[in-house]
Amino acid sequence: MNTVLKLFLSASLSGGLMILALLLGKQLWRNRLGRQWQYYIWLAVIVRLLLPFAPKVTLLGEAYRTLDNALYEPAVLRLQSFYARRESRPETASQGEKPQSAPEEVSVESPPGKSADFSGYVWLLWPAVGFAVLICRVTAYRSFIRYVKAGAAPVSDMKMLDRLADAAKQTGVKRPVELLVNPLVASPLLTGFFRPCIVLPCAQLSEESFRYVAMHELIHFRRRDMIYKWLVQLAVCVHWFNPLVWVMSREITKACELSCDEAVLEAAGAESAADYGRTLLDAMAAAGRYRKNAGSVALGGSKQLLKERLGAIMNYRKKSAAVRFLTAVLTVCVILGAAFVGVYPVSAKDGEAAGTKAAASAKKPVKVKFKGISVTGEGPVGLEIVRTDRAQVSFDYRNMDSPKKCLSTQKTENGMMYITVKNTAEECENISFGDQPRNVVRIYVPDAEYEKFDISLDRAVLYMQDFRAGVHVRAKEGGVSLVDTDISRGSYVIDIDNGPLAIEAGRINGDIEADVDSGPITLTFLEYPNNLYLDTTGCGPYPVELPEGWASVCRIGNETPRIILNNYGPLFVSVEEQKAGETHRDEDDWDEGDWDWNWDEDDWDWDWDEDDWDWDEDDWNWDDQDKDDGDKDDWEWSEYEYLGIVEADGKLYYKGDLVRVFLDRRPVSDGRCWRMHINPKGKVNIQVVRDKDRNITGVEYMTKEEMEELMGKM
Amino acid sequence: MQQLSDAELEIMKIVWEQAGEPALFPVIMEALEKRGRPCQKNTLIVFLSRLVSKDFLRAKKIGRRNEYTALVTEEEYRTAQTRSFLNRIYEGSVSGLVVNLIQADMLTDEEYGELRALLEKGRDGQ
Repeated sequence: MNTVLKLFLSASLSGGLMILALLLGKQLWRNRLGRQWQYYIWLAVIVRLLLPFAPKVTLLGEAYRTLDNALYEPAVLRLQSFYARRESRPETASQGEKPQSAPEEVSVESPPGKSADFSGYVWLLWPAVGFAVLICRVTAYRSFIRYVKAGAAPVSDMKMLDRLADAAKQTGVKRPVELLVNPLVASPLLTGFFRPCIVLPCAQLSEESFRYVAMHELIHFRRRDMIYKWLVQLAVCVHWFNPLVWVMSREITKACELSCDEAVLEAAGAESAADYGRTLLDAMAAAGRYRKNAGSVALGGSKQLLKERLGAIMNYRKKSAAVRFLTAVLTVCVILGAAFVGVYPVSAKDGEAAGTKAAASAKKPVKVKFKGISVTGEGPVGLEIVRTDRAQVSFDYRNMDSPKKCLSTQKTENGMMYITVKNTAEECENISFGDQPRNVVRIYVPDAEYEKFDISLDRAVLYMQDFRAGVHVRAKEGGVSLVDTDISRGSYVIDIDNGPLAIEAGRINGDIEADVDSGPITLTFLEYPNNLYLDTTGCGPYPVELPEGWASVCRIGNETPRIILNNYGPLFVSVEEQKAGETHRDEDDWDEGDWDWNWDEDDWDWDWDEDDWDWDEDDWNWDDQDKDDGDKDDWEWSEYEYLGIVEADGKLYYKGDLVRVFLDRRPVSDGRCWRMHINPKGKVNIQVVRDKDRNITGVEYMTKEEMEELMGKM
Repeated sequence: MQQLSDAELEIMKIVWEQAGEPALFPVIMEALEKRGRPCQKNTLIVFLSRLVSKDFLRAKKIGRRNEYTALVTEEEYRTAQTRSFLNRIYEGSVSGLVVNLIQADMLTDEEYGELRALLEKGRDGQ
């Protein structure tokens, strides 16, 4: 939706609410409060309608997020999904390219759909109609003025003009006023923004009647009612789709005349009420033919209005001090109402999103009524948990494919805030964060101190900032990204059954303990850590890539924070800006010469089935180092068959069990080439046992220690 | 040339009396009062602006005050008015007017003599 339209749509809604409130209120104060107040109070609504800006916290802010999603049309094009992509097989990639971080892995950028293009034009209807209405109004007014001026003759009676000048003095108009007579106008009227001009239907008026007529019109001029009227017209043009605004326009016209009558009586004295009323009746009786006097202010009007006006004139009395005080209070109420009923908080929201990052830890914690947070994400949906300075939890749906199927709730129970986001849509498959979010529910969580911060995911993907709390993430299936410039406040316990984990942080001050059953872990330091205890011994059996010089247990400085990573998948740990001089090799670790991967693409028979995570070939960051030694591995699995190891469709089975890791320290010409097979879905780890002469003697299960040793070396 | 209302003509006469000099607002105000037709300031402003829009006067703003200069001389106005009068009442016939003047006994003897002399001399003089 177009932002400007959104802005005015919300202004229309909040303005509509105010119109309703004032219409209801009118029943109460019609005869009790000053008519002039009743007239000018509409200005608050006009301002709300024409200046759609509001303070941050507003009533409509929430309503708009919902409306936003209701109006979002799902894109026609569906792209390869996060889950579909998990089927893809990894291919060998070259070492040296740094691994991509997880949020990029799970995102597929989507070009805008066709329906989005179409709705992009529909909103143009709004300014088009508004402009047409405005043009109509302006032309009608201009032709009316031309009509009035064409048949008008100046009044040459000096006495009459003198009386007019007297009336002007009495009403506080300093400018000279032109006086014309046009028998074609229905009732006396006033034109001209700067040079006032009163047009009478006939000059034969009693001295008294003329005085009242003149005063009435001059008060219109003094109060600049023309400008008010045109402001109303402008509001009608902008909010042409809002029937309440049209009602308001009529209501203001009425209030204008009624308040003008009151002002005349104020100037002329209450005792002249009867005479003034008679003048009004006479003017009505002498009504001419041209009735559509839009845009100008007239003494006459409809019969119904006349009745109301006469009633008001007869009831006129000076308002007591109490009423005046009440009026003042009401004014403040209406103006505050106008400010806080609010509009679409565009700038506030964006500003907040940008501001949260910079906010960091320097800010004071927000005070909230709950001491813990529990977030549950169910179904294919992206959860983005960000800090907010507000005390409430709020949601922001960001380009949901089917927003109606996504339900977010929050409730407080026993001091815990339970937040649930549940997406029942099955087609909602493309999740991406970042600049072009898709299928993401952003949850604004107060930046408070929490005793407990639990997150539970089932097929949902999490992307979060750090909080002042120990965060515990439990994911059945789904990815977790802790991507922020700092992890300075919270500590994390992350437990994922199946899915990637990505941590990218400048400074990490909080402990992190991650247990990923099946999925890659990417840990990126944006700056070289001065203090760190990193234990990656629990990772593997897949490739583990550490910065140069780091062992599987890495101790730097005072060995805090403690980061313990366990996974059954590849691990990538990298430092974006590695300090010079830190590149020395640890002699205890394996030497490149010890290992010689002689696998190539054909041999690389991991079996990636749909339950595996997705990655691109670029993610796979190592190369087969003996690519050029021509020592092509052409073994057949059949040579192990007599040991009970069977190969089928690229999977290995040992005694009926799917093999997870297969290792054969087999001699080749240079004596250093082993054979290895890994299937993350497998259950058993086996190795071929050979004697001193390198002859096969049997097969045995690998012990945990052996696994650790093997994986540690990798 | 447009018609002038009584009040407008009164003002024009005051301006003409200035004999080529631009007339100032307070001067006109005063003169109107002297002529027994006092009016309000704003009333005079309205009349003056009407005269300006009818191209009888030119208003020249000098500082905060207006100087009014006649764009039409008294003679021009009279001629135009007479012509219009002739056209309206006598359908352009001057003799008709004169016959009417004489028959209705509107001329004094003195005026009659003057008129005669003017008629005899006038043609030759041109």
